[in-house]
Amino acid sequence: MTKPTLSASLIKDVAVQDSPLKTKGALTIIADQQNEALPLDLLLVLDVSGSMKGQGVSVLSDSTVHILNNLMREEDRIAIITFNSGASLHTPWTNVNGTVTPFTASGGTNFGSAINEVLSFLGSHDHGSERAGVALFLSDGHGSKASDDNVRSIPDFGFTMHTIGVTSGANPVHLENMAELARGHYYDCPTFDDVKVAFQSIFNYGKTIVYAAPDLDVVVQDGVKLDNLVQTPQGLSLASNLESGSHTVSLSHMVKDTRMEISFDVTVDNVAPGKNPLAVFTLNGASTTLQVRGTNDETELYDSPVNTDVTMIAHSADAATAIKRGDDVGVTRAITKMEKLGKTNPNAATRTTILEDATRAETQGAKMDKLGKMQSDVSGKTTLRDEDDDEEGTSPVPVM
Amino acid sequence: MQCSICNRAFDKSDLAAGTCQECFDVIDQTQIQELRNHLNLDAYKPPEISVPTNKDAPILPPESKQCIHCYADLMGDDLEQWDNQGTCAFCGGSNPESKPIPNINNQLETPDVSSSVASVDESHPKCDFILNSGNSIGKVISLPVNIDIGRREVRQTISDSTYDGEMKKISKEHIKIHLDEKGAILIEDLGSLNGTLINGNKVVGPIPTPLNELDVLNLHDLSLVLKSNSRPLLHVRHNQSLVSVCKAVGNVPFTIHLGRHTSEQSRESWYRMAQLQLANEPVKIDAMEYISRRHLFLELKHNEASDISIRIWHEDGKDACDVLLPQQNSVKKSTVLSASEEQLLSLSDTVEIKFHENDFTVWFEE
Repeated sequence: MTKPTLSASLIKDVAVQDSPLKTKGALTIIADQQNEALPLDLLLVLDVSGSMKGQGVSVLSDSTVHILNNLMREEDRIAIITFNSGASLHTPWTNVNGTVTPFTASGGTNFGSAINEVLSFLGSHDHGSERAGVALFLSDGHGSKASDDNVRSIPDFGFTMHTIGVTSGANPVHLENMAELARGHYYDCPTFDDVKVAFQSIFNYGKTIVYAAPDLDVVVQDGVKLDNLVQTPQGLSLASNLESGSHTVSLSHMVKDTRMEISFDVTVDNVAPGKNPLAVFTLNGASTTLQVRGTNDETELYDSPVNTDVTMIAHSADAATAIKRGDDVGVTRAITKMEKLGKTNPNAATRTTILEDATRAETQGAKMDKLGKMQSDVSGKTTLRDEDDDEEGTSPVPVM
Repeated sequence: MQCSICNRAFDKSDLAAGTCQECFDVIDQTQIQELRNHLNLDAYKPPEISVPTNKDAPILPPESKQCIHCYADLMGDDLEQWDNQGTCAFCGGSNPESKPIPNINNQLETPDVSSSVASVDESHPKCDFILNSGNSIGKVISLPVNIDIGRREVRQTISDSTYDGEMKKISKEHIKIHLDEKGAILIEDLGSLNGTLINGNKVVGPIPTPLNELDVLNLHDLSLVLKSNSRPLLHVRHNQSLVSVCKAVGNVPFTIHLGRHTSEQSRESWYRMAQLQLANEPVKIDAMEYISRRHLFLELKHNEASDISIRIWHEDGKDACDVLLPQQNSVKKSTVLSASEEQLLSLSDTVEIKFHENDFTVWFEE
């Protein structure tokens, strides 16, 4: 596997020497462009409780057959776990030549047993690091909650988990939280008719993974703290409160031709004169050092330029987390700041437009669906996944 | 002045960090300016550009004026446009002191825009453009006049599949090219989703916007230059990113610089002038870090003897570049090139410039 390119910067690369500092930083990661996408293991975790009877299970069958017949490549595999009051393995790993027996629906909705079944299934099957694992968790109801720790351990198996909420019976906030813990995104399906498209979207996303749920090693120097690590533009909360020492942060899958961005707060107890290494980030054999230079030259301190890319990532993290919290004031505030930045940074202007569009969605579920589909290309330009290959020039990318 | 989130009273430490020293909130550009005023600091001025001097032939900075609307520094063709046509090349604002625009009676003195139109057929005239981005950069394509142009029409003229990404951003009905009775070309945006830009300015409204020769027309990502038949074209390409610029070489010397783009607000006008418009083609290359914002200067002039004179110089204190000129057939360091010495090139010559891991190719097209 070839090395990615890591780059870490602060809002400003100089700071007042012999003083404490509170600032924001950003880490960007770009996979080597030569990297080929990995074969995909797609694990479907499907709700077959009583409310899925009729149209629900028939849509599940249709959508699964669509994946098998139309989307899968020779090297891909799928497996299916179904759950209601309990959970069981419906179909073990099967390739493009496999078949899927029909689903039957009855009983209640127990997310906890579904996640337990996922963990025991992933634990008993060696998945290998050269495959990308994506779990797709679909439900139309409020289930009894799964333990956060169990959901959080899914990436340990090289899998991330996306969640799909179908119909207004689903609880988007709960499902989005599960997706975030398992480093995936939330997909909103207001009706059963939307399920097939969501399956297709998740599958196509899975086919472009180049690094499967990689671990980011962070070594924080003495007297330094990193906090509120948020992956943008999706607003995925990754970790908090990284004090001095070594830490490992599990990331979502890295997708081809995209840039992963992580925003964070940085506290430095005392900036020494000259170079101050603050933290070292390592991923798949590539490293970068976050540093700041201490000086007391006032002209340099006040006139040094602001890194607009880091600023955009910081505002973007604020906006996305505020959207997730349902904090309208916070959203408006962050978007207004980003809009101002957009006058000089075309990437910020593009992202502002897409974020504004997300805030206009009618339901909280639809807002989070839009956020989850946002991605940044290698140059930092924001695009929406799935929407750049339709007809009619419909890609909602505004002009810069 | 205080933080709008935690009400901390800002002081110099917040300005130095660019963030609130209590709650980490990022101070935006407008607030920074207010904070400078509040702290009685002078307005931010970009550092002055040092121009190398030569006792025998001192080189003066290029003549420039500032647009009264957007404060862009106007030089070369942009300055010519500001003085003669009365419009700013960047914001389109008008120059109240400009000379009157020549009327139809002295049309000969106006730029010969009609020369760029190849009227193959009176009823379906076509307009020639040069591709200014992507794989087939420099290729001439013809687009029809007076009919709605969308992805299909553009795709018919560019058969190269590497442009698929750009094509997706073009609407089914994107622009219409108008030709007025004086032969001038105007562009109308047909309500395209991703927009049309002329020299970076968005084309809006139903009234078509004039497109002068060598203006850059963007159908979102697809960049085209209106072809001129009267003047040779200079192409400069950054070979790692394939970002390039195309400019006409006239009989008046003009200067371009090779530099890294910057998007800092205070340097807005510089970035717009950066001849490698990396801001519009934001290709992030680590090696670009070694290039200053205004690094190497090239001054070009088209001589009557149909060759091109070029002078190359270099900002003081910047890293040297290797310049391969065809006549010498040897590599020279930019620091030893005499700024006063004109090098003569023919239109078929190419110049290679290399510094750090970047290389540029300079060539001409008749």
